[in-house]
Amino acid sequence: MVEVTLVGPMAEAAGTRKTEAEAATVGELIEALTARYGALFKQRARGSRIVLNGTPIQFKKGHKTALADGDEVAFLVPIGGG
Amino acid sequence: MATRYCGFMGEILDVDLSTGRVSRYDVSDDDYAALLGGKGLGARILYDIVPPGIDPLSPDNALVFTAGVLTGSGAPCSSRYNVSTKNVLTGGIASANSGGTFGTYLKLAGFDGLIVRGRADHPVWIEILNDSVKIHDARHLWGLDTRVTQAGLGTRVSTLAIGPAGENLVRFASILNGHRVLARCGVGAVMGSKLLKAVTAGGCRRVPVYDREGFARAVADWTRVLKSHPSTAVQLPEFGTAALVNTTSATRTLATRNFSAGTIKNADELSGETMAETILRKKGACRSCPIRCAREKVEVDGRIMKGPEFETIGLMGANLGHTDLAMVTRMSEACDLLGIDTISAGGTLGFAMELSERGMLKSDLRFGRTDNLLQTLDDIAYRRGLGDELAEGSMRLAMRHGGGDFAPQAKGMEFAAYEPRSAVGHGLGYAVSNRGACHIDGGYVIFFEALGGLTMDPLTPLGKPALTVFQQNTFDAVASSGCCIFTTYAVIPLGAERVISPHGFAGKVVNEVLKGSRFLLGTQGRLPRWALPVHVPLIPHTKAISTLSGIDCTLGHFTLAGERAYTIERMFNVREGFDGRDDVLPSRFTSEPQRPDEPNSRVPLGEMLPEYYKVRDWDPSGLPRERLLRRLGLEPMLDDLRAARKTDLRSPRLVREESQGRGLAARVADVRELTATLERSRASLAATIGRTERLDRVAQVRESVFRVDWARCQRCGLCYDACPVKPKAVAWEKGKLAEILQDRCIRCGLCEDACPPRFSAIDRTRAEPSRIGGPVYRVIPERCEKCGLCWKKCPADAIEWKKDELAVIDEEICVRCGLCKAKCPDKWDAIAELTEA
Repeated sequence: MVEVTLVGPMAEAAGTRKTEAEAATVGELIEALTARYGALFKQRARGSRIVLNGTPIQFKKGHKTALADGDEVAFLVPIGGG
Repeated sequence: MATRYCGFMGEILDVDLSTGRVSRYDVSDDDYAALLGGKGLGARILYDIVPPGIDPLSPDNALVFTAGVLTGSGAPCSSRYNVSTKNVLTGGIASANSGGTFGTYLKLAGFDGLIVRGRADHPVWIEILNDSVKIHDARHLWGLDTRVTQAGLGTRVSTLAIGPAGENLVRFASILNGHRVLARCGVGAVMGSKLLKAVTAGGCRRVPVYDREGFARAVADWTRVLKSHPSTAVQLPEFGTAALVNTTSATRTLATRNFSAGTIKNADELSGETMAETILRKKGACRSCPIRCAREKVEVDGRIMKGPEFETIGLMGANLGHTDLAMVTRMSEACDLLGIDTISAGGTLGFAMELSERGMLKSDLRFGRTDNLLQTLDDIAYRRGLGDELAEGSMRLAMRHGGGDFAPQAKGMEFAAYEPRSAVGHGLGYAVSNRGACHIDGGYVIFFEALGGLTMDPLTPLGKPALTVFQQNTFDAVASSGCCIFTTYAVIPLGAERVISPHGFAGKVVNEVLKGSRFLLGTQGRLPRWALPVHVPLIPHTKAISTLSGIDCTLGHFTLAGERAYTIERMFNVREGFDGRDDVLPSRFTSEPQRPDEPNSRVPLGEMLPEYYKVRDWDPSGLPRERLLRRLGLEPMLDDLRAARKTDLRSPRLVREESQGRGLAARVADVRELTATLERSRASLAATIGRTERLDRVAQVRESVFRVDWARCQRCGLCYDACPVKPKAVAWEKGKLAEILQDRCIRCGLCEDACPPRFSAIDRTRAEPSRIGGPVYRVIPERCEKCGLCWKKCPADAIEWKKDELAVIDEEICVRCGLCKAKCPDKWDAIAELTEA
């Protein structure tokens, strides 16, 4: 089971900020969540930053990055503060 | 001395509290144009007027408040102003920057800046109102919290005030302006050391505009960008800066348990989203800000308070090992009232908790324990027990109890709420930042590493030094101009991440490009200003500055102004004995990986610093090169640079610091005695000081004739409401101009008091001194029922009354309006109307 954190428009698309899902890769996770929350989720996921256990997935294997039980995946949107 | 550039008011006030002398400080047109005001101008003035080697808490130090060229102009997010002084925590440069109203009101009063030097011999406050400056007795305000102090000085002006922490010289004391805070570097302690409790500003001047139409267009375009970008139109307005909590926790960059980790379980309980769903009651904004990130009102324990910002939430929540948002809000409120910087306080508390858990400090502070936190903050502000040690900050706590390798500070000032080991460029920023560890002064490279739309590898050192320099220069230019740095978050083109997926191939390309920042950005600072003769739509500040001021502010001019400001601050530090040996981080952050499975999750400072110095055109020891000072027009600083090269000033600096520490205890004891004495006599002091000031005012009023200036009258009717004469001596109808009817006017001056300072539509002209006309009023003791109604209704505060005591009318202050007689119930008729002989 993978723990999923959703921020801003991603949370809005899903209607929740925290969820769990079963998936072997990030790509599969997006598909699973799309099946659960609808096409808007997939559309927004394309522009969101996906982070696995603190590391952005583009520095791993992108959508093919493997997921293990207990992993934390976050779908983030741009934000700055001060 | 006026300036030929619009946007500025052309005058800087210079107040010496030791002598009471008020003068003007000259700034040349060239300096106005080259520095753009604000942070850059503040640093430059400070460099010129404060000699090296002084104690920051001595009368030799100066506070330099400056507004930027855009401040108060109506440009988006342009309410910012700055204070520069010598840093109480680091001994180097201090700067604190804030939104709020003070910068704007200072300009409306006719000034771009205020310098405060010396030390008063008793607590005072400064009043700046339309060119006039007065130093008032503040003994009755000493010891009060920031809110009561501000309320006591009126609501129609903008007030800066310190709380008990500033009075007691807490090294991270802040200055409050409404709900906004000049928080960092111990600027409140410098104000306290001068016995300056508060400053108010107000006036009716307008910021001059060079090209009114062009400026209006630039502002409209700029506002449109901010209102349509996801960062500034959705995330910040919806959830405030607290929207960062979930993102930083997910990217392992949230300060947690004294920066030993970058994420906390249940971070969402602290998030802006949770705040919005549970306690948020009202959002708010600084003047002229379309972003509206402030959480103006939240409700906790049935009380309305200010919602905490991200930094406060991170450092007083996750960093202390808990996720209780209500407790963070209470702590934030306590810090504001006491006048404490939440960042340094949170950093120091977290460090003390780790020391305690390791058995290195005897205290009951523990991660996750929240019941003793409010009391500890109070103890810090009043320097009681352990609070006295904590009030010195984490570096000095480490000097006493050990733990220097995990004290979250650089140069003596605490980190912001971002854990740097999962955003290593941000760690470089902490190390090199001029004012001590600071996310903004450090360049906020974390935006490109973990927070923004298209990010780069957060763990690589590649490209980070050049990006840091670029960001620092840009932020300094923005801060100098009087604008909020949040405006720069909209520089990434709208929707770029929708076209370029951050985790697709293009995202990787962006990462590679940013890693090559050295080649893209590394030389931009070295280009002459005419090499970038353009206004780039993504940095709209330049167009707004050009049209407002008439300064030819190209992108090159703008970034050069930022580089100049940054270099002046560095030179201030160099003159104080700082060099590359001070650009360091504690070993936890450079040697211990944050995550055991990720060996690169540490800050490779040694790999980044040499390139940072190279891009900055500093030598390998961290000192600016002479050619850099020449290029930036800072030739007067060459002698100081040469002196620093010749002599190692670092050791004397550390020795001076030691001696300052010993002197501090005696100073704090003095303050404590003063506060206790004033506390005992506060009521009588307030009455005496109040009466003296009212008498002064009555004396002035009696030499004046009042008229309405129709060019300024806003037709609001406040003067009509305030006029105590029956029938009214002010003619006014809704939507029409007011007029004072001289045959009825009793010259009480209450209409002038009622007219907001920003309008100042009541003009006073000097006339033959005259007593206010009309009868004298006296209380008839045997009829007075001691109800206090006359006291309550007196518009001139001329009646003394206490519960169950007779009312007494002070005839010297009385404006003879007769309201007391009118309000005294007919059945008592306890006020006699006597015709004066």
